Amino acid sequence: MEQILLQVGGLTKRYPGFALDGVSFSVPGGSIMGFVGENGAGKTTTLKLILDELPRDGGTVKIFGLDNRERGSELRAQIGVVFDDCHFHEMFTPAEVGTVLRGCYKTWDDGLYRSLLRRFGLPEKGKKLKEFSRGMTMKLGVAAALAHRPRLLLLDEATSGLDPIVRDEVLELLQEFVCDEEHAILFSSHITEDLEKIADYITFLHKGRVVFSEPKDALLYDWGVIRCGRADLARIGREDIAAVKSGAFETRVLVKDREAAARKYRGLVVDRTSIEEIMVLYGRGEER
Amino acid sequence: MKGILVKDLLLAWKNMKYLLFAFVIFALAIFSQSSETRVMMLGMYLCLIGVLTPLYTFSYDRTAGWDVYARALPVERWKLVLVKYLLGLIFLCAGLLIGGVLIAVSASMGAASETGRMLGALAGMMLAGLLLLSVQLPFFYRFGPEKARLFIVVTILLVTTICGALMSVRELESSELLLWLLSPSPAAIALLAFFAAALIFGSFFLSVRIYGRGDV
Repeated sequence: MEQILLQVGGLTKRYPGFALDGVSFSVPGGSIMGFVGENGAGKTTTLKLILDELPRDGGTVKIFGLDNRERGSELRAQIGVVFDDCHFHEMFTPAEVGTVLRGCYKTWDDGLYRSLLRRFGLPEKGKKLKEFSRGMTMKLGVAAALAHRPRLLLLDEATSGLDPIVRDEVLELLQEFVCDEEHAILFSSHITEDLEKIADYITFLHKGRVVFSEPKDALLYDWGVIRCGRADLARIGREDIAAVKSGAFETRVLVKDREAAARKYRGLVVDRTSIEEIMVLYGRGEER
Repeated sequence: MKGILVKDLLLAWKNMKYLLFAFVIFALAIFSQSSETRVMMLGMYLCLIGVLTPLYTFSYDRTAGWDVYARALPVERWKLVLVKYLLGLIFLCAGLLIGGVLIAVSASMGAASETGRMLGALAGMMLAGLLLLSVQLPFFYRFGPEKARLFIVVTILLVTTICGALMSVRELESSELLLWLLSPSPAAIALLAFFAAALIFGSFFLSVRIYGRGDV
């Protein structure tokens, strides 16, 4: 039976002018959940609520089947986190970062940390973090997040600003991490290309609400986009339209069953879609 | 929690070379003073280091955005707060120890008659440092290091002004109050210690409360 490592149910957090409204999704063991949404959609807030860094107004978060508030510290010991920025002090060396984290995690593995630093080509000593490039600090963040052998990895824009080679290195490591059912990743990212490469599921958050949480392959292979003129839009049944966006030259209609749409609307072109296009159509599409 | 304390000690250690350099310059500058004055001024310097060390680690934490990361670690919030208080205590105790050694050296060089008075004044200074720390830390948690730093300046200005005003009153030079302040009795130190302990507990719980409800 599939083991759910992270289960978020009806998560709610209200701020003046913004609310995270009933966010629900689950991350099974051995999988990577891509967590996408526009800036300010509530992705980081969701991650902070999962880590119990913020008080929530409603909902539940279960990690490894346990409530994150009741067993917060015990659960955080089994979670690795990589944020979009380096939060280590810039006068530290990677060795000093290891010294600090060794005192925080009982399961900290110095050998693993050193081997990850070597794998990423990072110096252990002799170079302070202020001399590191963004790519180096992000790789250090990944090494630090993995060296205590976590079961769940939370990544918040961990690959943004990295060049394709470094990104590829990081993605490869993440895929190795989830090679068994005991591990899972929640990967918040704007770089949908990365998610198309490695994610198993995609949860799309828009204005604080989950629009969908689906297997990635279903989005890429089952969903489709009808590219047509504005006049053709009238032919398409409302029940088939997930989202629509009209531009100067074409109208794009998102459908959840590409093959059925192709059979039903003969003469119209129904293409495969991408996560980025789905995000744009939902995010910038017309209200229906 | 050990890791968080190690982090703060590492930060303090990296800053220590500047403080030690300043300590040497300061010690040379007051070399011509009497042994009692030398010890007292160095004691005040050590007390200031004890108070300021936890406060400047706040600034470093803020610059690095460390708090966001720290809250994701398997360390309870109250322990994250406790570390700042522990750091202050460690440095104030170290100040007391170094000051004690300086007094012992001074006594061995012929100022033995003043030893008791100097030790009392040193203990009083460290307790005053503890009081200052207890007042400052909740402000740091509530307003952050940038705004709270203003509060430190205001506090120091206030204390300096009051001291200056008292010093300018000639009648006070030989008054019992001034003598008491300069050479506190064991009872006065005990009272101050009790007051400092009560205040630091209150301050700690207030800081935990502020930190617990804060966003990052």
